Amino acid sequence: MKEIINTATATYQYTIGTQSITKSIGTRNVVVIDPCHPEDPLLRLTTMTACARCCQPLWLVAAVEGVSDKTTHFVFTADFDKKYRPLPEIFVNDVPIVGDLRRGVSLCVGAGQTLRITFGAIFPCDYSPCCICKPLCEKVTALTRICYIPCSIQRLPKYVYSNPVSFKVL
Amino acid sequence: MSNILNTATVEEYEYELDPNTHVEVTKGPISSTSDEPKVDPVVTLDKVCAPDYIDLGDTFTIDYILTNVDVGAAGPNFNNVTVTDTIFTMTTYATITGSTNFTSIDTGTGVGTVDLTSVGGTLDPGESITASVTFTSIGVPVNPSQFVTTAIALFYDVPIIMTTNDTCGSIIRNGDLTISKVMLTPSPVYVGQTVTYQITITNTGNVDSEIEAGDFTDYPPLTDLTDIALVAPPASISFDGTKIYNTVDITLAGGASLVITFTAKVI
Repeated sequence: MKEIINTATATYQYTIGTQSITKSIGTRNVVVIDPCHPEDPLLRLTTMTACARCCQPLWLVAAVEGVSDKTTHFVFTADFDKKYRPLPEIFVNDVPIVGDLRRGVSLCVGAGQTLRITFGAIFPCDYSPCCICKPLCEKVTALTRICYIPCSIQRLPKYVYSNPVSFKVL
Repeated sequence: MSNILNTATVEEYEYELDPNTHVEVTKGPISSTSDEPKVDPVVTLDKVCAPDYIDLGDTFTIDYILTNVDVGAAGPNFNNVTVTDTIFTMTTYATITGSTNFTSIDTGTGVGTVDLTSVGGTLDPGESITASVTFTSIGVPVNPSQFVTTAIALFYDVPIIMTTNDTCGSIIRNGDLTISKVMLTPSPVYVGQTVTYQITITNTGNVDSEIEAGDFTDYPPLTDLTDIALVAPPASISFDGTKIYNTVDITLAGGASLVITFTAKVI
């Protein structure tokens, strides 16, 4: 592991009676440079609308900002409550990819870059003959998280959670 | 010198004046006083300390010259002589490394008992003995502020007990500096991070200490650090692109500190 070794020295004098005394002192400081900068990526979640309709997709956007000085590989996962399900359509910086956000999608973000993950979710049909959805008339909350392995000695997975986003289903 | 006055007195006496009439006469008092000079014994203590100034770790010696002065008459023969000196108790600041003509020195009470063997067991009129103690200074005393103390000598020839005292001491002059350099930023640090170093130079002694211009240097490792900037530096401190140093002489009084802070970016 790399170290910063820094020394400071001084020579000084004082007198005892008629005698002048000269002495020297020094100090050495050693600090370890950790090559890994364990700065968590930033994760922000927004929704394009404040409310959703049953059986109609709701689109959300998660922004992952790589604040580390290295590329961060991570798994992106989305969670909804009340039977809301993410759609398989996912766009990363407007480029479509395929994945299951409930199980997680592997992505990476470069140093200083921001990844824009657009994904949809829907409250599914209740399998009635007409697939008629009933309004929930209540609030639904979505939350995303990323899991990554920071560059550290332990190399233990670390989770970063987004802000929760709530919307009403009409 | 004093005198011994001794008076004899007859308060009253009688005698017969006329043997035929038996008339008596009463007279008195009558007295006579003896006035003889008395020569008091004289003792002296001469405490001699050397050298006058010392540094921490230096050795200093105290001689206690004890004399039963010959005053021209048969005086006391002192069979016990002690010297009481606070410096014997200052073990935190001075270690006794040797002694001469002391049978014991009690560092708790500060009493040293003089060994009179070399003068035949008693200090007779006209005799003198020198008892010595050697110390090594290990600290700067606070109270007394230096090693200047008063010694009290007691001369015993019971019931005669005589006392005398004398004062001297060596003075510590020390201007030792300590230097410490710490990184105020928690370790470890990361590439790209701006870190803060702090250097503290402290005079732990009691006299001025001088760092001549250029005699303080700090060479930050420029392979690891860049953008080095002094933070509110003292006027005497500068960075020339290679080293941090003092541009003029710096005098640090006893107990004073000089603090130098700089920031740098880890590369």
